[in-house]
Amino acid sequence: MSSQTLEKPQFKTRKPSKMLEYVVTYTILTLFSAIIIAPILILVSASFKPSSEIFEYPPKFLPSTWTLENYAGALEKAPLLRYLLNTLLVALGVTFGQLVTSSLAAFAFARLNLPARNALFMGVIATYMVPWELTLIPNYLTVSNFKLIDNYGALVLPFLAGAFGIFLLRQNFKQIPEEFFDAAKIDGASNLQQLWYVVFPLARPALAALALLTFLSTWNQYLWPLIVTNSETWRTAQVGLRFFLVDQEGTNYGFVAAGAVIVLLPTLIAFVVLERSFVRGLSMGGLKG
Amino acid sequence: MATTLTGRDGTRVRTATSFGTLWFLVPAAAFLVTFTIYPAFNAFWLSLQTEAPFSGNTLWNGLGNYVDLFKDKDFANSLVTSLVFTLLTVPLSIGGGLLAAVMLHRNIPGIRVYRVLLFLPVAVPTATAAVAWRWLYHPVVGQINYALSLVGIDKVQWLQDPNIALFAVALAVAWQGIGLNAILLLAGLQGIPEELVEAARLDGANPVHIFTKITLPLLTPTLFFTSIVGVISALTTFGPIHILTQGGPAGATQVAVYRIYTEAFINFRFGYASAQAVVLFIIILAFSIVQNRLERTVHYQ
Repeated sequence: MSSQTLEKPQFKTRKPSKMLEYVVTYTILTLFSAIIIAPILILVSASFKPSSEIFEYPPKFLPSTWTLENYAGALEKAPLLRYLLNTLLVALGVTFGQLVTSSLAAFAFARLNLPARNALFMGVIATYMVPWELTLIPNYLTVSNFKLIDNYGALVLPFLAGAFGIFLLRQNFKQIPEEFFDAAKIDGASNLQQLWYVVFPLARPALAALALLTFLSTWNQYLWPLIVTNSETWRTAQVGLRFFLVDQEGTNYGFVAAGAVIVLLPTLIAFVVLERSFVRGLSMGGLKG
Repeated sequence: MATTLTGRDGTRVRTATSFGTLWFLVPAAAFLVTFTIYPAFNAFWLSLQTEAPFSGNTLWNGLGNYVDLFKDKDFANSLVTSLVFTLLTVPLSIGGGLLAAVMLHRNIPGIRVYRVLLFLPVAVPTATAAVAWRWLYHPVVGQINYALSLVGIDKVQWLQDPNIALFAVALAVAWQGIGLNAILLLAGLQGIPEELVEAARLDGANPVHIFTKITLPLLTPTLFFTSIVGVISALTTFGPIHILTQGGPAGATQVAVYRIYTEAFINFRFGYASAQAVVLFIIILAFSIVQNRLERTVHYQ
């Protein structure tokens, strides 16, 4: 498309062609973006439509009259805020736990002379090959034996350690120059103090990436919360929204749309505000994993 | 194992290798053993058992579950469905992600806004996405059928027609993957040295040539990574199917994990479901190994 050559006479024609390139680029970008976000826009639009307009044909892209009745209805019919609170607490718990267990283990693998260090590390990596679907049934039996069904314990405990986090952090901790540790050791820092005062400040991007990936994947969990929660009180947002859909779809589709938007808001707001950190975290976790 | 050094005054100084350091592994090890290692072995063990009717006790069944599985048409179908679903989803979501990444890989004013928009599916939770697509696919008032009617195409029963439902679900799931793939592939594109592309351009290569001969080969590691992640997540998709079609219509979207879920948590046949999980695990493992091998051969070119 670009007609850049080194010959000077072309200089005059370059401007219109550059303009044309811009127009084409922005048009394609806008069209593609519109297609990508259309499902969400249409959902949001439906959530503001009064019930008389929801099943109108032909469907209008925007509501003729905007209403909040669906949001009021959704919050009244299902404890959506409770679901979100559950999801938030579970995701925070899992993220915090992963950061603790992974950074301790990663520090040991990266810095300490563990007995049988390589064998142990290979053991950790091997667990990465075990898909969650294989352990699903035994873990279900474990948590029900521990009477953890309908409890934060079932939602949090199985995810408090993972090979991915240990691997990601270990690779990162290893890159910290020796001198930092020497300085700390001269000051008499213990291993834990080295982890806290040397590693944590320097490995902040990796820790943030792990935190983000863990938080997002916990927030999006579906099958596990579905099988370990029976009562409404303990449902997470994903599972809660599904039961809300089954319950209300036939009668109040607007409520379902509003509920789906309510469940969307926390991650959407976080993403728009922290887009750069999201991108950095996800590509870091992705490229190293 | 302990490395010892001789200190300046001749005393031997022990460094590190002390069993005390193992404490650092205890928290991670405790959870990994309880919730990954033990259950991985236990799944194999359970797959050799069956439930006695009515009593709830388990009985030794040897390889009986696997023999039954071999004859189980529903399970064979679910594996085929999973494979087809994977073959539909992964190219769509990587293709869409690549398209987005290529378009976003330029420095023009306002590009940040487009990045936010095209990455957005990454921030959309599974259930919200499924609800949104269910609405789009509505046979009567859905926007997709309405748009098609404008060009004279009859109403499509997206989620109700057994021949179309799997494709419809795959499209919805692929859409969700586009955000993450775009992020990863854009990072990959940004890692390609500018000089290479510039040099080719000065040599008179056209943009298509530059893309196929330089950009794409240098992007293969990222493409491989996204395809491995994509294949494994497609093979284990559950949530969107549970919300969109519940395995229907007529079993058309009954993927392997859905089958395992039904067998274990609806029919309570833990032994039989475990055997299915073991087979799925072996398939996933085989995929990862093949992809790993492929990746190596491509890298050496």
